[in-house]
Amino acid sequence: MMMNSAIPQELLNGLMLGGIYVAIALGLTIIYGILKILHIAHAGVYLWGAYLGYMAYITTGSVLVSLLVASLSAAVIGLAIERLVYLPALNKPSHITLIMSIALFTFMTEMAAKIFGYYPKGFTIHWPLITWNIGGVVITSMQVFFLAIVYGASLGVWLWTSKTKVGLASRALIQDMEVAKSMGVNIKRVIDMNFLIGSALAGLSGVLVGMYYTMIYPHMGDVVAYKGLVVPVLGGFGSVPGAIIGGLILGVSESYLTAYLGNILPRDAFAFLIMIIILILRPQGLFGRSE
Amino acid sequence: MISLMYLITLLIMIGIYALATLGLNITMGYAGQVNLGQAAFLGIGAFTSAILTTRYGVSFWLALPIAGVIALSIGILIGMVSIRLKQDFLAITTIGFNFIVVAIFLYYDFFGGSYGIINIPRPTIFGHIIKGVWYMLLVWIVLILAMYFNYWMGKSWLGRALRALKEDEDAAESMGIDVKKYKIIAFSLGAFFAGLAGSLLAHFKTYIVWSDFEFSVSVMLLTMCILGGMESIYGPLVGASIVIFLPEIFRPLMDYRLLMYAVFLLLLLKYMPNGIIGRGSYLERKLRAYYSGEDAHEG
Repeated sequence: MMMNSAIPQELLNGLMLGGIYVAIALGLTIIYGILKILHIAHAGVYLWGAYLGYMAYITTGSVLVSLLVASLSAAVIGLAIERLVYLPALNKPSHITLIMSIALFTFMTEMAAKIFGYYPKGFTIHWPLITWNIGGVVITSMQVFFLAIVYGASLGVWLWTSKTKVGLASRALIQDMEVAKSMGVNIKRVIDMNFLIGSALAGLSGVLVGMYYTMIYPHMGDVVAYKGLVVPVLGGFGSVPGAIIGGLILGVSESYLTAYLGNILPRDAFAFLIMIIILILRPQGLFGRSE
Repeated sequence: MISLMYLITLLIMIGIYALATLGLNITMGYAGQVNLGQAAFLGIGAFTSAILTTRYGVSFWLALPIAGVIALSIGILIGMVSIRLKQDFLAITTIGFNFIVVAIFLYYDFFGGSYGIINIPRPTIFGHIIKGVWYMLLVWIVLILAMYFNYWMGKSWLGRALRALKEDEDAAESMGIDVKKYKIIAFSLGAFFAGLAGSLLAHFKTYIVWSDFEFSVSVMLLTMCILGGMESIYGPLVGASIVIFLPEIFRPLMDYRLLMYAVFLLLLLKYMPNGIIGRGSYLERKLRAYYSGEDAHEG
């Protein structure tokens, strides 16, 4: 009985985990695609989205308001990072901008700890808890809510990049910024839009993770910050469908590996190990094009 | 005020971290290969030395070079991975390498697990235990030898080849430089010095645990490297001194230490990305201008 249901149950866990990776990695991949910056501080945006969404929830008691505040405030924070930190540093070598981003992430984590306290905060929302048992797989209404919003929003971003004018322009920017500029693309506006959308998605996933695990804490971004980078490596930097497939692969394989080989290595190490093995075999990433 | 004993402790820590940074300076400063996992090599050296001396009765004087060589061998492996990767992918790979190594230290009882390794013996010479000022002397002798090696390397064919690699890989290749070989050399030499530093750290603290080698330590080493100035022999020493002394000066603001560190790092990278001394640094440009009377921005 245990053996039969364990396999699909792990698949569900993998989809949950994968959803978080997808939502984080979409921002990372488009921002790297355009600015060539490894945006570690994206996890700071995720963290702040969670805290501000939490504040909105305890003041209003509305889940919808909480989700809206989380994504909107995260979008504003992301835009501020782009304008104040990244754009002035574009001519610096990539290892300098990378460490700037790490420093910025430390700053955001410490600020959250100073303002909201070092200890975890309980985050329980009023949501009807229903449990379904489908062929031995237990799924809760909270999981359905989580999956629907994370994957819904991620698909929304995919549609945005493939159908709208600004979305197409950002793909042009990822291909070649100089050519896009000469074709009359308003580069500043496109970069702004990408930071707004990527950051909103990070903030949204931050607050959802807080709601799902019923707590938030200042170091909740730590794992996301570096493991999030694994996804664009798998899916190819700059590719939106790549980030979605990469996130799913990472989430599902991490869940299975932890369930069956968890005594060999801890969870986080598996993600990096998968990444390094793939990079050894395919240095341009799983779906990346070789130059 | 800072007591003499405490000052000696700080000087020992500066010596150890300057040594690890010196290694990073070879990998990144000379050869331009991003390495965000230097703390892992520090940890590999520390655990090698700690395990050899506590469990197998190996003398410190033998464990120290072995720690360096084990770190060097793993550096060769990372170097072999690096030759296939582009700059940013290499950065992520070295971050991942640091996380994996630390996870192994934490997960396996062989490395003491979450308790770490205790009772690491202090080195002895003719039956006398080396500690305090004498340990400081030992650390600084190793550091000065490493700096001398760095000086020699900078003048040699090896240093020139590494620098050529950093400037333009394709051009270096066409000049007959075996790019792959020198990338591996850059990583393994950098790892070697970190391994030595790790051994010195283990026998100084007499107690090591996985969290001593976390990713944040790699960021700290990188900060020391950039702050001091890349490609400078004295840079790592300057960088390590500032990063280790600075929190002592701001001791009353202990609670805000990490916050201030982050702000300091951001401002440093924004306004002085080339560090204090070394190639392209503020000081170097001013000195050059003073001696040549030319425009400070040239060269």
